[in-house]
Amino acid sequence: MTAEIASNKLTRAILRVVEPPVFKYRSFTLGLLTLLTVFFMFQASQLKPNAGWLKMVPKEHPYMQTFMEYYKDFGGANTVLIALHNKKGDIYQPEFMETLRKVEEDVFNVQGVDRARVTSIFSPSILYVEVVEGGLSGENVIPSDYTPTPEMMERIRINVGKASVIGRLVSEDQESALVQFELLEHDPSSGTTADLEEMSKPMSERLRAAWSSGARPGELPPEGGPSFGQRIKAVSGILMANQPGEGEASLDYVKIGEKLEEIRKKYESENTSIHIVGFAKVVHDMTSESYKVAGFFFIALIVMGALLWIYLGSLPLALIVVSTSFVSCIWEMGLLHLVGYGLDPFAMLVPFLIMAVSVSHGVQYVSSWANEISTRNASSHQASLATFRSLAIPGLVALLTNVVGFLTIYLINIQIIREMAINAALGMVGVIMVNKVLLPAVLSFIKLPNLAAFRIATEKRERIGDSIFKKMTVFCRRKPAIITITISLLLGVYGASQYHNVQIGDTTDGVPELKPDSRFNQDAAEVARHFTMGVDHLKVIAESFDNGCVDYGVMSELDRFSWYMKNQPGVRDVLSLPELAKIANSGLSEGRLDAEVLPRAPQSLAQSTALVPPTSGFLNDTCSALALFIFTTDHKAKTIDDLTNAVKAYVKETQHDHRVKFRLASGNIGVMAATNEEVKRNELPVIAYVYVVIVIFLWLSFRTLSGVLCVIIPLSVVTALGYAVMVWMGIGQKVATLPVLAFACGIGVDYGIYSYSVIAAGLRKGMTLEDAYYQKMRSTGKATLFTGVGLASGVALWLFSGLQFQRDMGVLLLFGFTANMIGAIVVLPALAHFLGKEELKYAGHDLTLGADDALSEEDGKKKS
Amino acid sequence: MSRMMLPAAAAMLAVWAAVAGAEEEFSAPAAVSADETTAETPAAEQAAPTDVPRPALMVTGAAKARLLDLSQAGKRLVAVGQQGVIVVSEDGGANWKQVPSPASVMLTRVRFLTDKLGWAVGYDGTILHTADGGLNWTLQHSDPEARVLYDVLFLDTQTGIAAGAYGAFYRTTDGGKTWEQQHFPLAEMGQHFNRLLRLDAQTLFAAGERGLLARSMDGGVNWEMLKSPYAGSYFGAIALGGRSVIIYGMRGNVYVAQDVTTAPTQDPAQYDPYTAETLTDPAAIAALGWRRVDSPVKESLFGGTRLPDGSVLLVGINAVALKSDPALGSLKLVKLPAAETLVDVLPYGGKLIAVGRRGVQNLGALP
Repeated sequence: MTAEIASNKLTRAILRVVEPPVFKYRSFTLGLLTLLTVFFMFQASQLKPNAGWLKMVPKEHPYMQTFMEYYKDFGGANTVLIALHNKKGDIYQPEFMETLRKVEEDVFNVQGVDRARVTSIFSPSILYVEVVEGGLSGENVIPSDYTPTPEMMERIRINVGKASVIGRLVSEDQESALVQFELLEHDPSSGTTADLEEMSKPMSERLRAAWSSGARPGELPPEGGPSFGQRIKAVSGILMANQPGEGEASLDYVKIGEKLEEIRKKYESENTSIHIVGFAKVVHDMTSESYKVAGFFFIALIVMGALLWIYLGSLPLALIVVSTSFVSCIWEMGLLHLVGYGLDPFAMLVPFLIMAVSVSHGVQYVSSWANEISTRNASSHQASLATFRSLAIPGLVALLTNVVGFLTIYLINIQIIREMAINAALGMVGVIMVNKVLLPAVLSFIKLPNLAAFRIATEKRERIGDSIFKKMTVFCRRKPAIITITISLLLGVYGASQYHNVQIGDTTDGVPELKPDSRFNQDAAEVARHFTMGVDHLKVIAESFDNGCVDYGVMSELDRFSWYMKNQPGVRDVLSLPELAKIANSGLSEGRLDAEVLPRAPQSLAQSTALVPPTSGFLNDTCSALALFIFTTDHKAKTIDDLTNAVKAYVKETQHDHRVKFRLASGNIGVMAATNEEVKRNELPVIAYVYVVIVIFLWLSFRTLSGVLCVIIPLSVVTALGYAVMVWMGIGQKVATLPVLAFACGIGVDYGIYSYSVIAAGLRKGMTLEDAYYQKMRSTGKATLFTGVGLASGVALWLFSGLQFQRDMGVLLLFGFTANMIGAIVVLPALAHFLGKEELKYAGHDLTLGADDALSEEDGKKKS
Repeated sequence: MSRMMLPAAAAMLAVWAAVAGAEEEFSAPAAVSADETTAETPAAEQAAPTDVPRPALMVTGAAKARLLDLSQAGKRLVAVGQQGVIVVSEDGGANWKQVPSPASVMLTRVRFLTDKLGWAVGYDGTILHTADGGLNWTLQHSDPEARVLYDVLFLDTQTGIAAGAYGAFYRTTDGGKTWEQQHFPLAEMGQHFNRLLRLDAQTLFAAGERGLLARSMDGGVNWEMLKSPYAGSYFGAIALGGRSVIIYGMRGNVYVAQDVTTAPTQDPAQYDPYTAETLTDPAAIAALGWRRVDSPVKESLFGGTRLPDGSVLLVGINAVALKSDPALGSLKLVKLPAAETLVDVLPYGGKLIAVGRRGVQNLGALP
């Protein structure tokens, strides 16, 4: 009781502080906001698309520590394959061979390509050795005196057979050839990979180092000991790490993608088809597709505007809501650029969300404002002030809940998700400024041109709704309420029971980001058909000791491990130094197949391994660490899980020579394994944190158990059902979808808070639940209904995206928005039937805080 | 050939060690990170495990392993290969299953004396024995110091020989319970024995590295070295009936002898494989009892079989296949529906089955 009064006093005190800038000095505020908006518009125009491979990676995961530690020795997972297919037969034709040579040459000259890791049959590192009568003979597969003549083609054909490159660089049917290369994660012209080594240290260690030295790694510590400010700067610098900054430029994938596309255009002909696969190409394709999604944004904006026009019955009002929402997106993007981020295709979701949240709040505000004018005969200013008083606090609470909710996904240590969290939080700053400052101030100036006509139109429209809403009050009665609650609880239980069926990671063939029928995925399938090598590979690092690769025990352990892994389901092939050494040994032993073994004698072993250069990516300089490439048939979560388990099982049960330490993992599958494990580890905690935050905020805003439960129960039913939707639609829990359920909760709680606050206010004023619900439906309920439909139609556009993950996100958001809307208008009152009595204890305490007083005030000049 | 490479290899190793050492000085100590398996002793401080034969891993893709030889035990097909893999097929090659093997080294040859009794040999002087047609195997001989064995031949249930790299030659008279290494001038030469053939009760024939051709008239106790028309290696030989053989090997070289017991011999002590020359004059070749069969390709041939029509089919690198006319006068290239190197082929029930780098390949109708 006393707490309630105190809290009312507190809210009034807050309002006393925030009202003047919004209403008293509104002209000044508007001017300032306009300037800021122009500034952010400029900032937003500087935003660049920015997708980074490392951003989607959980850097703290043990697998990724291995990845980072050996990045320099073995490259990362950033492989690109270009397959050339000769439609006129085998590859041994001068014209085709020339094309292959030129493609390799062009690839070599693309900036950002790791020149040491460009491999094709033209590479000098691809050679064969054979014993001929009276000595050794060995040469590159493409002889040094290469000229495109038919005789040369025959020599190459024979050499290819001897060099064991079939399946790797030449297809099984020998009608396709491959150019394989790796990209440097950082553009060599402007940065180094030094940061990667830094990244391989645990976060805690890096933070401690930064704190004690007062400098970020690579910077000189300040002289005479660091100041507190410098320490903070250094630590925050690390927390925000990996944003392109001083001396370190991320690789421009889009540019490389364009270059590759140029190569394709240049050499693809009616005789030769060119297939390009690799992450850089994915990013390029994704970026081009995501521009189309940017188009969706404007379509959504227009659709929303049209719906608002119909709903509000006034074009100017509709335009105000749409344009203020657009302003909040400008703020979001401007702030995003200001803090140094780029626009990632994954984060395309955020502007939609921001617009959604902004429209949802804007509509609430505008319809309440219009309601004040038309039903209570208030002036624009009075109406705006009254609306401000009734909606500012619940609105702000809802928005802050969103902000904190969005920020909880920051706990997932995957940079792309963290960027999304920050991005969304920045957007919410925009929404708060726009809806709690800009919109009230603007509305206080707006004169409805034909007030009488507007009123008539409003009343007419409301009467249409009224009859429906009147009927909907049945949800507040006992029997329907029991039925509603029972059904929704059953649905919730069903959804929760589906939870364990949700796949972690990707469920589709091909690259999950793109649609299965996209050019890229067709290319990937084409490459997979003809080569045992593919893009999907798991790299296991085998650590031993210096010159471990001339130790028979070590090498045969690796050989056995390779053989073990090769026989796991989902493995196409395993490539490793022992494998290549065996081929070399065979070459030195008259080419006989029964010499494809590791020789026992150290000198023979050295002789065989010496033929494999460190640049091959199979060994480091000291030969103390070897990389095993495990090519997989796909990257489905189950395959990945089985493989990492197989590695662990081998180490536990089969490993004989324990001087070798097998470490997971690198390669794109290694990264996916780490990501999947990180997602799996985080998915429940994240949802839990979001709910904890929501519960706290609900308690703070309503101070009743009823308020918390009436909002939280429908919300959790929707979350649980979300899992069932994921199972039905075959959507996996992954980096792209993990934030979506949290975001959907954010929107859902919005609906809940608006709905419950009006019902509770009504109850406290002494209305029956049915009346309160009826009032609610007429005011915020209607707006909830409207925004639910509007938002759903906005995200529905995502189903047409060329990007698979955006379609997945679209499905989940569509479901989340719609289901939460139904929850707020159907389940919530049913729960209130049983729980709402608690509000009666606070009868007389006005939840809307002096909104009614506003009408008696004279254009805001008097203060209560 | 390997002897020639030793100095070069030693030099390479030395340079490498020097480079590696220098690198080590410059490289910063790697960050030790928390990994699931870090708790154990650092790798280098652990002792190397004892070198004992380990059973082969039982795997799903055994029939796709590198398989080196294919034999018939009654109606059952048995193939052996890398990692100690032994696979058997009861249905003429359609389905294969791996059977447990007590060794995980590469097995190079499997041969059956009867439907039940068989032996397989391989690296580390490994000799395996089966008494039930290839389903269960026991280890008869293994020694990490021993050379790889390329062939095994039993004359009866008690007497057998096994031979392989660098003149390795073993003999048993107790069915393989004990194997005695044999030392005789031909073995002392240190050339690989690649193939052993039995031509009749006591007449044996051997072909091997760098022109090694030999015969034994007393069941493999004493061996005489034959003069070779070719200085390169022979990888295999097929008995053509009587004392006639066809030999094949490196770079598509194929020769036929009518009667190896009448071919001229030479003193192994006088033979220097590094100065030996390949004969080109047909008359000179004929004087040694051989006839050259011209090959259309220069690919090494690793295996072959006699087809029912009397012709010979030879296979080798990159699935090259050569078929002779029944009179063995010439060889022509045939296209087999196979991939990568083949080392053995076997006609079974009118179908051709091959083994090689890709494991078992069913090649359909006989060529």
